[in-house]
Amino acid sequence: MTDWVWLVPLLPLAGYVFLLLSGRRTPEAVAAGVSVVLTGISCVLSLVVFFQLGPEPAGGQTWLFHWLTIGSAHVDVGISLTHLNALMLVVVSLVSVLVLLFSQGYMHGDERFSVFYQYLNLFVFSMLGLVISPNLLQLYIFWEMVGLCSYLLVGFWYFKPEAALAAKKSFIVTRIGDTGLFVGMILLFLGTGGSFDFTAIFQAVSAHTLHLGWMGSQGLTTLAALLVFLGAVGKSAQFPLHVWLPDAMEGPTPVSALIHAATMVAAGVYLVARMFPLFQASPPALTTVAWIGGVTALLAALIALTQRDIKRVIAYSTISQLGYMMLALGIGAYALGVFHLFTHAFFKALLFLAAGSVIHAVDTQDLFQMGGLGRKLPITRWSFLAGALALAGIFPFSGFWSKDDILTAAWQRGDMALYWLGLVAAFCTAFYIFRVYFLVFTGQSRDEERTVGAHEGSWVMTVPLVILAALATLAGFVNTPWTGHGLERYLEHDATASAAAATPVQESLPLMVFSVVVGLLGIGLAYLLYGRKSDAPARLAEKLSIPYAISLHKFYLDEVYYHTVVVGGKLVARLVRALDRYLIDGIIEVGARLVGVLGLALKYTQNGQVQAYGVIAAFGLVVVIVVAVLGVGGVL
Amino acid sequence: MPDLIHQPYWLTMGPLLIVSVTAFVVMILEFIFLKGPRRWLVWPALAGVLAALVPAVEHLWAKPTAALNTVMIDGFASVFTLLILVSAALILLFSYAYSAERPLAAEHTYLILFGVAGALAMASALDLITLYIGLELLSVASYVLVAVRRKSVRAVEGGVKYLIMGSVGSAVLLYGMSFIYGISGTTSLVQLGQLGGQLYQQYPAIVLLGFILMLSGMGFKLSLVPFHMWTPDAYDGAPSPISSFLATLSKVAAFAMLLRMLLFIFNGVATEVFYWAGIFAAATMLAGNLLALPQRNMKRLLAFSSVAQAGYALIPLALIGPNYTDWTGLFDSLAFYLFAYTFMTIGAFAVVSVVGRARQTSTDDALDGLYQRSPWLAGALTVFLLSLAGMPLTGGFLGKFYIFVETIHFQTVWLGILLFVASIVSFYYYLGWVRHMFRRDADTAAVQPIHAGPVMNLVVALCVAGTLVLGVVPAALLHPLQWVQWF
Repeated sequence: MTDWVWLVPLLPLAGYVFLLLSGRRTPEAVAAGVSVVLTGISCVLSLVVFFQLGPEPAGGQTWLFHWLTIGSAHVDVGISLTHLNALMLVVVSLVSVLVLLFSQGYMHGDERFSVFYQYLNLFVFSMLGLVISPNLLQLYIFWEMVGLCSYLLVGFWYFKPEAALAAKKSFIVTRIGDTGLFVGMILLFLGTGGSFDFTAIFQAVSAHTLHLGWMGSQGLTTLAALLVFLGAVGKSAQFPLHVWLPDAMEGPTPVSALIHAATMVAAGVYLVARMFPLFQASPPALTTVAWIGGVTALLAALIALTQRDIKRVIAYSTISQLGYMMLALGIGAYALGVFHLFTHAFFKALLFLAAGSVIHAVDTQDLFQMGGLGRKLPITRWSFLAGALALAGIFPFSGFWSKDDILTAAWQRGDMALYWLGLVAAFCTAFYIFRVYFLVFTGQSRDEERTVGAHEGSWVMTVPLVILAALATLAGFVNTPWTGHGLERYLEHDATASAAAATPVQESLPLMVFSVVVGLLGIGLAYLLYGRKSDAPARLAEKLSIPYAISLHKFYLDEVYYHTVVVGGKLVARLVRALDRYLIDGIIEVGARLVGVLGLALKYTQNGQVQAYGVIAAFGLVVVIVVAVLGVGGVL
Repeated sequence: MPDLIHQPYWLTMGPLLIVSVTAFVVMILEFIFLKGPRRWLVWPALAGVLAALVPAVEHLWAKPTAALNTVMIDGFASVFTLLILVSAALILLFSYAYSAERPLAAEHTYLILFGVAGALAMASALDLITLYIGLELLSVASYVLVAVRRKSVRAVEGGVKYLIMGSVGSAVLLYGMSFIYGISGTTSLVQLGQLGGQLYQQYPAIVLLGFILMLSGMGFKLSLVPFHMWTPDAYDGAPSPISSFLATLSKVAAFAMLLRMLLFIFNGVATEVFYWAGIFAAATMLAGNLLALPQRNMKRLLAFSSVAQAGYALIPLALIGPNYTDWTGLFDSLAFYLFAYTFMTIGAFAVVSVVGRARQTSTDDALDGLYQRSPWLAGALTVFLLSLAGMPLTGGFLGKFYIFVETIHFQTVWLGILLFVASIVSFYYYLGWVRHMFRRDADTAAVQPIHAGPVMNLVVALCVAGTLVLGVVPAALLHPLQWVQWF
């Protein structure tokens, strides 16, 4: 069955082409139905492939087609099936199919309904194509394609100025990272003597044959790894390039769930995991990854504490959780980073879809206009609770297993600073997510007008919630001590990861209990402040006005960027414009005039008389012959 | 005396025989059914061309074999045969769609076939006489085809100019051949090839003279500068399918013949003489693009564009000089470019003919607001123009890119830079058309949509597909080319 894996990305592509051809007036049921069925088949196929994939040769199974030739280098496109890739296929296609189903209810009645599905299908295709790329170039192409889809979908309601701005911001900020990835890719291509292939790159890295000019193997490895990581930082919204993700929440909520929580933003983590041998060969790069991850995890969690917009809280939470994954990869716990990616995809998609269900019911994103919705939206409430418990890392929900393993790994490797970063972030996480839970679902409504008519959506919206809630609760069991660390052993089959997984984490009961207690403390604090009717939050905010303001204004990073990067950039742009206008344009103008005059002059040779044609031809021929023949010394 | 019985006729001449027989059959059919427009004659003709494709594909990777010491099958002949037949099929479909609205004399169908037969001979013959006969078969058919609308003054004028200049070209070519025959005493390319550099050692000036005369003689067919001046008149006067026939099929055959002759006769003296092909390539690229700049007539602009494109395609030939140990890259790049060129040129002529007919004008004003009138035709023409200009994701881009890479590889970078500069100039007029097409007419309600017939749409769609496939998955063509045994 693994031979059929090529169908997995092609089915959503077929859906895209179908919707492209059938046009805007495709009935909603057809657009959604076709998409769900095709992606559903992809999902089933991915699951089959996932379970059938046995031990295999290094680099995974690959199917390649010759694509193009650059000089002497041949570039292939194709499919590479490793255990990591198979896992990603399952995550992406499973979340996609649920989100596609959910969207039918959420987007119902939108004028551009079928266009929305068109973009979503294109996204699913690109994302699936990304995770089975056998070489960096193909990965890069799909990487840009998912970026494009994200741009289109964030700006889907382009008539809202915030949405258009957010789309632009997300595109530009991630582009900074992409530039890094691109340069890193070219360096590796040159360093390996002309190959984009992952296997070839890893071989060159491990044999220390990577070289370029004066740069030796070690230097080039570190430089390339850092540049590749820059791409991952942009895509996975890590500090300092995280600023685009919260703004991207202007897009429709299903998009946030699929692209900005479960799949695309995880592509950065996937990239680091896919290129793990490169990072392993460079300790400085690994340390950078770990620290960027740890700092991001805490910073984003601190910002999430005070946000008023339900989607923004969850967006910062996503940034924070992606930070955990980077942290795990950075301390060498390859399988744990991937494990957290796996569980996070489910519980974060769940939280977003549940938030979407709430927004759909009350038509606002402001937490302080909600309240008491638990009775009106019972399914949403209980599934959100499952997601929140998973995110807070409470036993036995899925997030507990993956997050706790990461913290334990940091502890056991002696990275105490990182451990504490993660633990404080975990406390904040539990607090902010339950702040949302209490504000939305318990207590009394703060805005009767909005909440009075709230009700659950149709089955297309509740069924995905229930399925995701089940997954968020149970997905952790694929990798527990009781199930023999199933996922870690599965990933160990990949030759690239075997070294990393060689020192597995030893579960330690005290650490487990400790982190659960920390999570429960966070939840308890949230209950004290928001679970009961009181003015404690306001008083607390007043008392801690400075830290509160810092958190509310996201550490003023947007402002800092504006006054440095944006203003500075504009200054440089003005300078360049002046240069361009007066110097370059002048030169080009002269050149263009000259060419135009030459063209006109030549035009007059074309006078329509065949005698003239003959004369010019004969003249030209004679000149060439005379010059040429004299050049070799004459006829005689 | 060669053994006439055990010759591999079918292997070496299969497509040629099928096309020739079809031409006669269509001629007889035309003679039998005298009534009506007889457009249906295209179908038997097309069937013949498609049937000829079968042995052409089948023998693509055949071991080089010769028959009668005059006709040869090798990778070179096979690839060009394939390209000639593909373009012939497209042109026949094009002329079928075209004559629905503007009837052409029924003779044009079999004249095209005779031209194709001549072109096939040019791609596979191994003897100067046979090559020349192929060339004349193609040329005579072309002269008549240009003037096939004999009541149109412009058509007759174009035909006569082409006839005169073409005859001069043939004469120059023959003159060059006569020098070579005079000093070697043979017309067989095989024997000439075996002489290698000897001739040049003895008579450098005469060999060089022969080279330049033969190159110039073919230069008339390829419309190289300064032998290009008939081109706009002939293309403009001829019906559009015939213009595309001249621009693609006829030029491809001329390239095949030129390359075959020059390589076999002059391969030992490459360094000294092929340099001159570079001079012609440079002049052609620059003058062709400059002449296109002020041009407003659509077909004349395409004519100059095809002049410039021939200059690009001549570059691989000019590279044979410095280091001819690695020829396959050159053939790959030339063949790739000609494939891309064929698709984008036939497609551009097809769209231009539809639009010109619908708007009753031949200037580029006809393109105004084409996007509103027919998004499909506007999109297709945009693809062709971007490809002609050399934008990424199109066959034209990769074609130029590969030629550029070869100029670096063979250390003749000045030609590569010139290719680049000439392309920049060409952006101005190609993108000018694109601007016309996407300009909005003020009065949206009054816009008349333009519809092309189903067959015309098929031609355009095939050309779009060809252009894009070569641009996106070049290996679709490059991969098979790798296995071709060129000689």
